Amino acid sequence: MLRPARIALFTATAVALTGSLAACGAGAGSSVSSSGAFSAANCQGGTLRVLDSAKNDKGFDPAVLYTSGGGAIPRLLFRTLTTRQSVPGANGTKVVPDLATDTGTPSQNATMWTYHLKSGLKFSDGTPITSADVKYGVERSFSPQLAGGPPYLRDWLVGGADYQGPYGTGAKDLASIETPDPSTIVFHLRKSEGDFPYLAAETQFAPVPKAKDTGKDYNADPVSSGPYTIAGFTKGRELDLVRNTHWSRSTDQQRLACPDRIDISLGLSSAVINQRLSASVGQDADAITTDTSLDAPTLAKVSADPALKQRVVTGKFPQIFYLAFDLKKAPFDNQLVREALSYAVDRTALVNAEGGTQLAVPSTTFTPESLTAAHQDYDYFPAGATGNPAKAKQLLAQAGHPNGITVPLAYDTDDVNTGAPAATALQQAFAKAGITLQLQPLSDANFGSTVNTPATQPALTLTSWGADWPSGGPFLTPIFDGRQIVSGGGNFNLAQYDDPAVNAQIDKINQVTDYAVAQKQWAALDAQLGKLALTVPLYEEATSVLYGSHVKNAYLDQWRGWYDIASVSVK
Amino acid sequence: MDSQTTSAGTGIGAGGGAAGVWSRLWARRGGRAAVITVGLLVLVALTAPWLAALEGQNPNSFHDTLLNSATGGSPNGAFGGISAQHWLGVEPTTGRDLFARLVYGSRVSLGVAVGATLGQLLLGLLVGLAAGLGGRWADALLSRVTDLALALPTFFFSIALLAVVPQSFPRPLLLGLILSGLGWASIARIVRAETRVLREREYVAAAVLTGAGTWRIARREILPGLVAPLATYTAIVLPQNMVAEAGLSFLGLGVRPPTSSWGQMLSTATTWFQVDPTYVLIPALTLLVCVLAFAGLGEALRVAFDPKAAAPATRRRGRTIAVPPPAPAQPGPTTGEPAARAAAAAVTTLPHEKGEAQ
Amino acid sequence: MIRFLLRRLLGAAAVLLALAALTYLLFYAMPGDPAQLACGKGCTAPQLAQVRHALGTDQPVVRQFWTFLTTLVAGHSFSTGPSTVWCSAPCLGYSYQSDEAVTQMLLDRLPVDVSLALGAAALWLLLGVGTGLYAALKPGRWRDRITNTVILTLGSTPVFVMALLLLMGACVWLQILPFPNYVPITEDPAQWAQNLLLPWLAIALVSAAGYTRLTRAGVLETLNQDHIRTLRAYGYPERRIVLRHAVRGALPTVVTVAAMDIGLVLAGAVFTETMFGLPGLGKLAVESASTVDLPVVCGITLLAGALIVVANTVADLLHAALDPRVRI
Repeated sequence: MLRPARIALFTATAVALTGSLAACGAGAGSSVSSSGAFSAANCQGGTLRVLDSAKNDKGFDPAVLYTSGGGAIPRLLFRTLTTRQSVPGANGTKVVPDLATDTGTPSQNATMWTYHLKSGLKFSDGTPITSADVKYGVERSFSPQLAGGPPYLRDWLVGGADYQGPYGTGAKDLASIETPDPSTIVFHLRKSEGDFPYLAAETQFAPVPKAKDTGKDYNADPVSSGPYTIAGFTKGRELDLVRNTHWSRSTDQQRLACPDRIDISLGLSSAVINQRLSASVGQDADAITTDTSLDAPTLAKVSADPALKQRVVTGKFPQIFYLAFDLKKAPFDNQLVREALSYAVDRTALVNAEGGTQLAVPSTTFTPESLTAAHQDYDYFPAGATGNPAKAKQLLAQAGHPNGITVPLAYDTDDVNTGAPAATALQQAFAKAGITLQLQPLSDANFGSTVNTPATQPALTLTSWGADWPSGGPFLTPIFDGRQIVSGGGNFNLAQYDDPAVNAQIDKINQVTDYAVAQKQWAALDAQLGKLALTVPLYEEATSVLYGSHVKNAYLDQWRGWYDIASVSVK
Repeated sequence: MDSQTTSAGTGIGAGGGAAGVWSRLWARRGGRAAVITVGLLVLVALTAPWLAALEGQNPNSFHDTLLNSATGGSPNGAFGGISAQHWLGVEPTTGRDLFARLVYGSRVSLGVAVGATLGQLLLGLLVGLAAGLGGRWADALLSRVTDLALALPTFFFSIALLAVVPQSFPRPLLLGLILSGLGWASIARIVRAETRVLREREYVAAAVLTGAGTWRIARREILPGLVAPLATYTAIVLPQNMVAEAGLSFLGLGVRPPTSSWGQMLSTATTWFQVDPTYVLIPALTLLVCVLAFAGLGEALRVAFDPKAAAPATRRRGRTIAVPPPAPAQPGPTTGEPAARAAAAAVTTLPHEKGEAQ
Repeated sequence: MIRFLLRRLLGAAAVLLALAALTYLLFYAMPGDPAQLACGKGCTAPQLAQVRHALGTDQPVVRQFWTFLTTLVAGHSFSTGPSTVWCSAPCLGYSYQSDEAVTQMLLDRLPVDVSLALGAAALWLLLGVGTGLYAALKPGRWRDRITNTVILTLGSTPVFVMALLLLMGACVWLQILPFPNYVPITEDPAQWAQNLLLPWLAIALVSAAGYTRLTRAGVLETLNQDHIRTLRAYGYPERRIVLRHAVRGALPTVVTVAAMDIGLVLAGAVFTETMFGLPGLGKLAVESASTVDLPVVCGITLLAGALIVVANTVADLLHAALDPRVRI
């Protein structure tokens, strides 16, 4: 439900760190790399180089990682009960079995989910993977020492809210996870969750052998269940992966694991990464990046070079950048005022501030077009391409503000996306409609604790929301479900909107276990909520990424809008 | 700058009157060039709104039509979109007018630098005089405080202070206050050392004998003697402060949007240097020229105050550093050498190294 | 000598203690909750309380600082979850954000700044002393004027502008160098030097000016002294006079100032590191300040302070050793 965890990097030089992952193809979607014929059967061998700007100084602990669909690098080390389907195009948003034989058997109104493990699964140390290892992996993600992962398990599992993990004297196991035999695991939820198979693709569902658990130190050398294992790891500098000899394609249909070795350079500046990928000299011809997209200046350069353009892939991660109102604070308790702001928005200026049409696409819907299955088009307050200040003024006058209004706007200064450029673009556009925005920049360290605590939340916030898996559920529930309002911090229902009818509707959709049916209903709910102007949807981001000239089968998957390393080949 | 030259004028002693200093300053080509450049800069800052109006632009308006949205929002046209309407081109991704942003930015850059320098002078003078004229204990205490202040990682502390103070506090004022609060120590050292020397002079001793109060002595006897070193030092610190403000803005800690300052412009421009060099070079060169002008002014002032040192050679160090010659009158351990050296470092190691290291 | 060092050490310890206390207080007052950051965006309120307790940030600030100090002096045990580990003194604790041992983090970054400082120092001494000597020995109206202008210009350039201009010049227009990317000397010395060349130049070019002045002044001063006149009168070759005696006159000040400058760069060169993407102390300082990572922030301040104190002490000792007039 959250935007994927990102490293609070303080590169004030604005060396555009791709803050929140972005991408996932709405039509424009993922295109397959054009460099030569690729055959899955004959792709193995060679060394893939990865040039990343992330430093990964928190290492790789499956309990702490916050990924979408298992992430890029973590998915090479950790197999989970389910995983995303590794194919280009729309099918890439499907969840498929990984360690388990199927995506889960629901019962009792989707409050109980049962999984059976495949046979012959082994850790990199040769010991067999059992259901107890999966249970232990989930349990340790509840430890305060290993905080950082997604919050759903706490909310969904029976007894999850109070459980504090398996560490310390007197610690118990979590009774709502049953392991009747070494290959069966049962989860008892406190409410219906038709999306459970999607959550089971997160790294928290990776098996961890209790005997090898070193707690906080586990992140440097975790026991692998995936196709690769860590041969060398210097945090902030490099990570070398070699084949896990106990993994085989026969039990894993999703990871092709083509290269024999994967050498990952960490903590590079984005200028260095993009320069090396464009030059593609020597070993860099075998290189990709898992986190550095082309920023506006680089894009301007690449656009002018047809040869480079061929080595660019594009995609989108379903994430909406939007204005959040606090309905409890004047003047946004008045729907007319909220509508006025919706009319006043200049989406062209916002898209330009983001770096132009190749990096951002305007959106009038909260669920963006790239979340195709759950998207329904609507534009109830048409602002046109550059805003309709006249209509906005009229609505403001109608609401009793003939002389305009002055409101604060909070934004995250360290976020290259929703930061200063977008905030100033809004300020300029709103000024034309008599709306004075007082910019209230908050550092990344401060943004979350201020905005997500109702007591300190500003009346108007510029923020973004991405789905942890491609479904309307994690997209809408945290934002519009009244029971998700939390007073102590970590609140994402910024509108503080609580309508029992909507809450009941959410519960009803959560009971649906048929993906397509559920998504249609989420889409309808979004369109229904859109009429209330609870938010002003602004735009979604697009991603363009370069890859080296030897690299094959490089595509951005539609789940995450990023390279699926498990499919890339250099042979 | 005006305030400095006039204050230098009222103080006499060293250079033979304000007129003398001024004529020597003006006589040298370098001095003249520096004075003119600095004067122009002040003029630009004062008349920024009119200059922008002359161009017909304001610093905050977006111009979507001047950008190519398909190529990263880069400006249409050569040299960053320079045209008759936009004399220095427009900013990529927003289309804001760069000339207007530059002239408005000079207000922040110059204002913060001047404000911070005045603050540093005031604090440094107070602490330095108190230490130099006060008793043993006052001196020891203040010298320790000065030591600590010199040891503070200025830059690092600015970051924390900028975050601690509420957002509603006016940003340029805050920048000025922080820079002066963290940068007064070397001035205090110079003032203290200089005061100690002056105190031993006969006319001061005579004043003490006549029973004049400490404050009166400070004002009547000591301050005039401090004018020359302080005026010179001011011209050195001022560009340092300008660079410090630019540095903080460069790291994204300075002024808040949509306000512009040269450091802020440089900061948003850095990523564009491959595609739109004009955008980068404009604030970079402006900053460079101004810092250079102030540095030149400092150099010229030094010479003007001390005509004998015209050839930038031997006497220079002795002059600015104010080392009490291998003095018998050195009470504390921290007074003589290290103080002189700290001052020497402040003078010889240039602004950015200080900013750089701290 | 020993008394001098002892006195210095005591003074330094007092300054560092005050520095640490100030830093701790100041950064503690910064808005932003390190526990919230460590806990992630999906953190619930009870979970947040648990994380605060695990980090120790639920304690009063004075107590936290005391723990920090005792940990530094005597070591401390830390829980990893299933077990506990002992962090022996000097222990700066663990980063709130990455859970790495701060001492190790600092040791990892230090080689970058050592590389930066030593290389840059070599360059600026070469440039500064060279031009200083040249200016002193070949005086001339125009030559002086040109040297003066160049020195003033280079010396006035802010280091980030210099870095930017070097990057534009070398990497974009001339394309003679790739964008720098730090490589440790242990991995590949040639790559190490190539990648540090621009950062060295950036620092050296803006710093050299000061040394030019010092050298010129020192040499001229010595050349005007009586014993040099005597030597000249005896017909000693000018070359020898300059190299043997005049340079020696400039040496103490140059070496002293250089030692202090090296200390400053060692303690973290924020702009150079940021512009060239060098993973040094300066960059770490800015990053950890933005995430309110108190143990790292304090660790860096202490290390930087200590480096500067050491550099100043070395400068004093060198000065005393080189200049017979100075006594410690």
